[in-house]
Amino acid sequence: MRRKTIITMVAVLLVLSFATISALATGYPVAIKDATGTEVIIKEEPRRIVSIVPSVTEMLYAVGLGDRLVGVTAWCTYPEEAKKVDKVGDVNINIEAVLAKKPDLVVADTSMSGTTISKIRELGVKVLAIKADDIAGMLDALKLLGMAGGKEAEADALVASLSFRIEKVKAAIAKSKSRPSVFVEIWNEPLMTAGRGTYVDELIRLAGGRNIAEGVTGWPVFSQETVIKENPYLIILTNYNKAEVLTRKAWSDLAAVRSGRVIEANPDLLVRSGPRLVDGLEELAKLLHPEMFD
Amino acid sequence: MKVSMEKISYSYGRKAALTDVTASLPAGSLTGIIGPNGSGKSTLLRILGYVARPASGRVTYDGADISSMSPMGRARLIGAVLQDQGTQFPFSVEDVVEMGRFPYNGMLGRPGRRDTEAIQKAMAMAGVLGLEGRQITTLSSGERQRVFIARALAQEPKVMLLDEPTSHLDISYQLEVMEILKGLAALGTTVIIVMHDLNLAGLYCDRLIALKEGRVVSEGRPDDVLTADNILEIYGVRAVVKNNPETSRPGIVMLTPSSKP
Amino acid sequence: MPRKRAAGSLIAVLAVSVVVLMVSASVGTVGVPVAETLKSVAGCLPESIRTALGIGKADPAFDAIIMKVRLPRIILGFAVGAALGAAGACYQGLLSNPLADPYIIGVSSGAALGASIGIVLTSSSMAALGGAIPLFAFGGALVSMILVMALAQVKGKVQSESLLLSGVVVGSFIWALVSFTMLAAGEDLPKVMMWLMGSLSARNWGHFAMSAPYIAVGIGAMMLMSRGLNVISMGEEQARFMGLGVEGFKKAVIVACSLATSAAVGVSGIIGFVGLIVPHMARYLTGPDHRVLIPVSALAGGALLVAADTVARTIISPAELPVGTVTALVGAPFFFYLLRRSRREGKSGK
Repeated sequence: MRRKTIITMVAVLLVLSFATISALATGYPVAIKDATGTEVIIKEEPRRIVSIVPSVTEMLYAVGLGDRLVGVTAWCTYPEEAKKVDKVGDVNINIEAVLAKKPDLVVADTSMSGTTISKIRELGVKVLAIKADDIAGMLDALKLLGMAGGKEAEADALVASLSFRIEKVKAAIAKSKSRPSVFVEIWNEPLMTAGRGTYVDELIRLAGGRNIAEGVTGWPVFSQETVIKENPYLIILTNYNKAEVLTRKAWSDLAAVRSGRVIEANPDLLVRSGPRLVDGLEELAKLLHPEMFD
Repeated sequence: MKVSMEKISYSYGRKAALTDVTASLPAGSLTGIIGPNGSGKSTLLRILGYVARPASGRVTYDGADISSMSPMGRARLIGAVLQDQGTQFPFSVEDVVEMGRFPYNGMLGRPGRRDTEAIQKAMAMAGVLGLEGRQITTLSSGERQRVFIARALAQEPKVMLLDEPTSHLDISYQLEVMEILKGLAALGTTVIIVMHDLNLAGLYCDRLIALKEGRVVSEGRPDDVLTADNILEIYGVRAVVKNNPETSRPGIVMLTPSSKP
Repeated sequence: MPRKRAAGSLIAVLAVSVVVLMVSASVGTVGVPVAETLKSVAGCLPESIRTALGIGKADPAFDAIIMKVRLPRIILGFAVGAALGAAGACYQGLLSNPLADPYIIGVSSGAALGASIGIVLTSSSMAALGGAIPLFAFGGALVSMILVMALAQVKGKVQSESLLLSGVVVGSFIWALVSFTMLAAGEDLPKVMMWLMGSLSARNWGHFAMSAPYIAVGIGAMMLMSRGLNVISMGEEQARFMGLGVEGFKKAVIVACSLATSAAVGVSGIIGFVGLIVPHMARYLTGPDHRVLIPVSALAGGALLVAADTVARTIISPAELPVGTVTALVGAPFFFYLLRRSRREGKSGK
């Protein structure tokens, strides 16, 4: 009868619109221009992902794609679950092992993975390369990964929360007039630190401090005389060697040593690209401007 | 010092280098060890100097076995001049000869009067006085050889061992060196030389030991050792040996394959 | 006369060394006036002498920098350079090889292995093993020395050719192990590579205390054996005839050289070229007599390394270059020059 036809038509319409809406909602296929300038087209949601960089692994877990990982490196130590995933290499990636995992997508970082990216691409496997040299880059990378893996909502939420925390820190220290100096010791013999262009340097600036090595770039061997002359307010160690530092005769008169402002830090929070950098930022800010965080 | 060797045998791996070499050399004699390449001449010299140890047999100096002596002790009895080595470092002649006093004043050697005297005497005998300040690398081959002889003489040895001391020298230098050695023997030093040149050997040596393939073919006075038959046997070469009236010594003329016998 | 010339070159090199040390002490990232430098150093003298000479007390800020940072680095640099220079001269004499350097016996590979293992083991728990890396390196160096000597021996005799071969073989093998360790180092890889390049950065009096006794003993032994080195340069067989116990002597020289080199490498990493060029420079002044050559090589090595380190720590201040890079950059062309010069002289001289 006519009512049946109308109900059928409405039902069909509803189903059709539903299908269209869900098709639009899933967003696939997705075309991403990655950090190598390649247009990476992901046809459907990747179910088997291989990460060849520890920081990428962290970020994938952070946006909720951790359960799709089928291959990581031996150095992917965070979060704990990552340690249980099969390994495809350490500093060198075993390409055969990567292929053996039959991944839908391999994720890499242009500054860490080098020629491995093109090698894997040549073998017909899709590689998405991110580039995360600074905080802004790290946040963009999270969004990119969310888009690639169908977790945009989670990624956006994470980025929003991280950005909020960063702004909160900025606001807190904006009121402070001081910019205390910081020395971050990356290694002791030779004495190495982090200069401009590193996360360490960026975090120090954002946290309202001054890296005494900001005049040099990269990860240089640094003059011990300069450390003593600068007499930094805060000394951060990345090798849990506080006891050794306290035995240094040359450093015994430094303000930071005298006042107990020599802190052992988890290097991952300062060096490894990923959401934990914001944890590092917050810690740093509290150490540099304790009066702003009560 | 009398040097005696009894039934000396030595091998390199399985190859026998010396077999049953026996000879006795009186003090103050000038002995030449002759033979073709590979006959064991240099090996024998080294055994005589205790630098190599024989597989069997003994070497005695005045009847005594000196193998148990310290290297320094032996160096005070035996001086050696090996084939031209050690010329790449520009030591001064003085320094080189002074090294001959090593067995007397050792590693920390502070040269004393005795040393200076011995050095002077050695250099005089070798005819190199006046060359003290010269660098050894700037000398002629003849001068250099005489400096090395002076160094060995500075050890004040009773026995001198020389390995082909004249082989690469000009004829005049060859005679120069042989004259010095002859003079040494006359003073009582037992001189033993490995030689290449048969005529020179015949001209100067009191005794000859002729080796072929590690065995003594002939041993004794040059007249007895240097015969046409021996030369043929040892070298496989035809020769004519005649006593030279000017020198009263045997002179050897090699016959070419095309010469009439 | 050689004796006068010997004394002359020794005094000359000593004077140069003192000047280099003084200049280096006054130069650095932090500008310290020369007067303050002298006051600081004079602080070591007893009060009475200082007042007698009219030298006041140094500014404590400068004092800390001079006495605790710069001086230990310079003095250690001098000791390390001296060890390398003397050992280089010794090996060149012993092996009659003008291309020999202190690492020819493979000591550097052992030190590298020890240090890289040490870095990997301690980087996450350095509190417990604070200054352990030098010990690891020193131990590794000694182990490789023993290995090389053992391999090179045939019926208790160490032949020069087998020593060189053995050094190359053991060295290559151990370097392969070092690469393996570097793989295991992962994120610590740059630290291992930094160590390998050689550095005097952040070295303190503790490092000096650790290495100086061995360096002193090693160089002292080398000097005592100088006459033997002269004798052995006449040829090994000839040396035997001259009364030298050649086998025992060779072993003693190798041990002395390895001891000094291992102690040096242990505290400073692998610094190249000093041990190779300095003996040639010294020989140009002193001639081949090891009794003068070795002390002059030691002094010249010390001066050269301190000078190179001063450049390394000031030229891109406040960052620093690895000192091994500076010695190689300066050393290579200089060595080339020496080589060409000696070839020219060789052609016309004889």
